[in-house]
Amino acid sequence: MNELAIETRDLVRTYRIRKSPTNPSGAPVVALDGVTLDIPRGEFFGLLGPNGAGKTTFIKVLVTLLLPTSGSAHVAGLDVVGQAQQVRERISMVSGGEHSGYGLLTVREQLWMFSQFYGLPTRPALARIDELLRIVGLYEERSRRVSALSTGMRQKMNMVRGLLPDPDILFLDEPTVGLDVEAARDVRAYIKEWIHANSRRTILLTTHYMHEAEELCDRVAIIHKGRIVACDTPAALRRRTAGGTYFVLTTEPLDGIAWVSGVPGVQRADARVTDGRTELRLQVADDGAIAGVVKALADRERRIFSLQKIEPSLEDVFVQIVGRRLEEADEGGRP
Amino acid sequence: MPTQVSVRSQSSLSRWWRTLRVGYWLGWQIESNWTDPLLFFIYSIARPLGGVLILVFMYHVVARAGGAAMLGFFVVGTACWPFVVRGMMGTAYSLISDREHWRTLRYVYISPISLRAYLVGRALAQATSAVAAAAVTLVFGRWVLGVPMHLATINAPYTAAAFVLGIGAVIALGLIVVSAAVLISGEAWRMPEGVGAALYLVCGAIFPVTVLPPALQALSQAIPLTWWLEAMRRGLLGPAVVRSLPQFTDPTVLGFLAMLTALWVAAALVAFTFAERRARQLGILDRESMY
Repeated sequence: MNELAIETRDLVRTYRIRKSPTNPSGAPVVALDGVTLDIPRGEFFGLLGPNGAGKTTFIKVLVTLLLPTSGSAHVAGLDVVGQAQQVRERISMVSGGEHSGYGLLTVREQLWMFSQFYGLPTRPALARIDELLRIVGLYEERSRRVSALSTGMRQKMNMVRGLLPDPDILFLDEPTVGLDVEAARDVRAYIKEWIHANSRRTILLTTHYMHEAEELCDRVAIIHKGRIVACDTPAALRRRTAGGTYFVLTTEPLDGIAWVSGVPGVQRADARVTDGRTELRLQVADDGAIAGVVKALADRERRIFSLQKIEPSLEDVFVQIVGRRLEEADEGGRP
Repeated sequence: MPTQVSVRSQSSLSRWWRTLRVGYWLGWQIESNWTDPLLFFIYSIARPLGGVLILVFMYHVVARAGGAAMLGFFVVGTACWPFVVRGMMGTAYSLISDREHWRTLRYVYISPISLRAYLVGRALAQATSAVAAAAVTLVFGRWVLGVPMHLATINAPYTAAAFVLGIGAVIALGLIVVSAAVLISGEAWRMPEGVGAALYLVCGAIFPVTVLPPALQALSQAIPLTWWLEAMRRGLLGPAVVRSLPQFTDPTVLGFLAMLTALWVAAALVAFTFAERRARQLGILDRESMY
């Protein structure tokens, strides 16, 4: 048995697009630019990147929806181009933030139908459907038409659909988008439990949520402009943040933070406004540099509510590698 | 942790059969559940009946050339046409609605099924919904309009063989249309209707193809539906019917229907395989156009 669940070599995918004001030359857009990646069986692997970085394209190639332009991709040791049908017997996919589902069917009918696509005998399939519906908290809605479900409920139903065939490799493309906090937590808890229950199971997760990747993934790759720019365990990635110490400082609202970068020793500063307060996330050369920031705030007559030294997060790693926060990168990402 | 289940490893044939059954089940659920029974009745039965009445009255009033032979031509053509509309157009709409409306195509596609079998199952469900309309139209034609159709003169084996071949041809045409639909997005909804209208014109649905210009007659004879409608008329009405293809004997008509159906099925499989691969190349298989 192949020990690699997913293996790609120099995977390239380009899209031809028509000439437009944003692409006057009509040049092909490179969505994947030579992605080489090995994901062993049993691993919970995360792919982080802004919109347009190539995450969904990567998954689409692996689940046989899309042909690569060049390079190779193997899933469960099978070529996604030449052995697509065998690949499909071993995989499943759940995408977040969409409204898929046959609205005229009930939840249970819809899930039964997909179980038949995977050749599951009806009785065990229905038992499994009920068990999974209970786990995601949708059992009471099993006889409701899909069209009557809320976005979050549909997302839970799609999660059940993805888990139904008990795939060797599960592709989760932003699976918690559109879920409320509690449902997202339940889903995360369940998929964590699911992967650890059997060592042959592998998950490839794409997400926008750094904390989700940190909480769930054994390893994380950061993809930017179609290239894998970093790949390691979350802890190892955090250690890579070259030099510097991280602080979070909460203060009274600030008009701007450009001046913060001018304080000696400050390497990077980002600000978020929450609940009428400004949260400054600072990367400084050493602990002493924070004193300069505190003094500058005092000079501006801004009260400091809290100051905390923190471990660098994946977000800091992302910022260091990509040069922007994930949300900022999204805004500047390809459509 | 829920019970672990394993995906059954099945032969291509059993997978094909399983997928067809589920596709049929889904198609029927969608076909029969979209509205209340009264509206379903009106749509399935009253609508085709209205169609035949319009044609009959048009013919009587405008052409003033009534007669049982032409009446039978109309009635059988109108009874059979819903199979084309539902079967051929239904195949295409199944894929388009899965992609655009239900947004399930990507999940259907990446499951271990035969997409062809799935679409054939969906098409057969649509075709089944045409049975009642066809039966009511024939009964209405026989008992109300007086079409000379008698149990004694119906060639049942011939009609049954023609019917099965015709459904095969309809599905083959559906797969060819779906092959085009998979490669286009925005206008995909319109295309099956356009193709249906063109076929209505050239296949002898409401008038014999002998009245068409020679070029269109040649085109018409390359389409299995022309032979199907002719065979159905001959099987149901015997010699008492106006013929679209008067130069051919009954067995020859059936033979051409079988041959053309086989050719169109082969062409449909090739076209669909090409279109599916091309759509994967272009990255448009599951593209939603928001139409």
